[in-house]
Amino acid sequence: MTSTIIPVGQFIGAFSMPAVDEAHQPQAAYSVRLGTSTLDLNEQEFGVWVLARGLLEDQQKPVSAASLRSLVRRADLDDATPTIAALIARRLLTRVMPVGQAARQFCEAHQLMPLGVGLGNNRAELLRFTVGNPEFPRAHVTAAIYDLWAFSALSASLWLACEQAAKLDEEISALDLAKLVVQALPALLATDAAYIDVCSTTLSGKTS
Amino acid sequence: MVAVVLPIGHYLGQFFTSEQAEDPESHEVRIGEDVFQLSAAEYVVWGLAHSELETLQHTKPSRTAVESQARELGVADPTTAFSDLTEQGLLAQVMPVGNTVRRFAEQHQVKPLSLGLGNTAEQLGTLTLGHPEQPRIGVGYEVYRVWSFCAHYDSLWETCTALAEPTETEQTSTDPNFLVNSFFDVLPALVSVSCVYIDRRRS
Repeated sequence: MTSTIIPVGQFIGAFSMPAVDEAHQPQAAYSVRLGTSTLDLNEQEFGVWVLARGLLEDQQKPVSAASLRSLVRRADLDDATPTIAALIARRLLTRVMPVGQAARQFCEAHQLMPLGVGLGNNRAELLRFTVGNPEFPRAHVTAAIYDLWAFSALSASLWLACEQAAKLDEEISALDLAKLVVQALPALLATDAAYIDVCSTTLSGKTS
Repeated sequence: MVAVVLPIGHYLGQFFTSEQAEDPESHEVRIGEDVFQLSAAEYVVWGLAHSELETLQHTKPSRTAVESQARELGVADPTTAFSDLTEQGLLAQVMPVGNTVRRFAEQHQVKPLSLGLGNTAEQLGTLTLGHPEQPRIGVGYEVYRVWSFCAHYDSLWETCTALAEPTETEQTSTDPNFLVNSFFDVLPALVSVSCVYIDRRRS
């Protein structure tokens, strides 16, 4: 089994800065918020981070280190190996095995934050729920993941959200939900239906 | 001066419980841990409270305007729907003066629903929110900064006080009242284009 690469942080934009003088081109930086910190990424780092969300057309497929390196090569960026390591060290990427305790540990250290509104179901597919915006339906998920997504911002960690949801459904355990949500993350992240943040309790940064 | 109407809650969509149903059984909205099932009339009124970006350039949503638009859309008794929604905490009316805005900010949190798209070399001072395929609104730096961090804090007021702490770079105002008033001024527009939703504060 291969571990899944997950991008962490809320993308808050690409920023152009005025050129220092006429000899230099205007500079751009990409910013990601992690907890109370904003982290700047250069073009190579941003390319690797954003491709770790996976491609829209392959949104059900988890991104592995090997598939990420391949995506980065196809995007004409530099070798991704050192960049992946550097982003993991900065907590902007994390690796998780979508099984048992590994899924739980990931959920304990992170929060799932919804982006977009819920669009509910329709009469033709009562058990399929959609997330997005009315004019841009983006991700389709099961009822269990939809409920978790809808309430996830209330809990201090994704694991606490899984525990809370499991209390309301006798048929599924928190651990099973943790595994299911890790498996559903590629679809939620590739479509910008959610982002992953670090938990407040695991933070050590200061507002920049 | 007229109180500004704001919709509270995260929209969770239409819910069908039968393949034979013509219309959804309800429209659901989450506030904190509570989920409210809105009737068709309540959904129209709650939806109209989101206003439209174009309209907001002239006027902010008021109760009179929302009820009048609802009546035009066929809602027989928008006054009762508005009152019921207010009673449930799904609509707020805020006078944009004095400590009222601060009290609203203490009692509510704001959550982003879109990405930040940054600025461009041509317009360094305008920061865009939306999605790459659908940029939705441009805002100033102070508002952008509050928007960027508001997901992390338990209330809008806590966000503004945290960002008002002096830093080495002094990037934003050190007056939380200035930050909260600047943000509140743009809040109806952010809500109208679904770049944020408003929830009750995290307890």
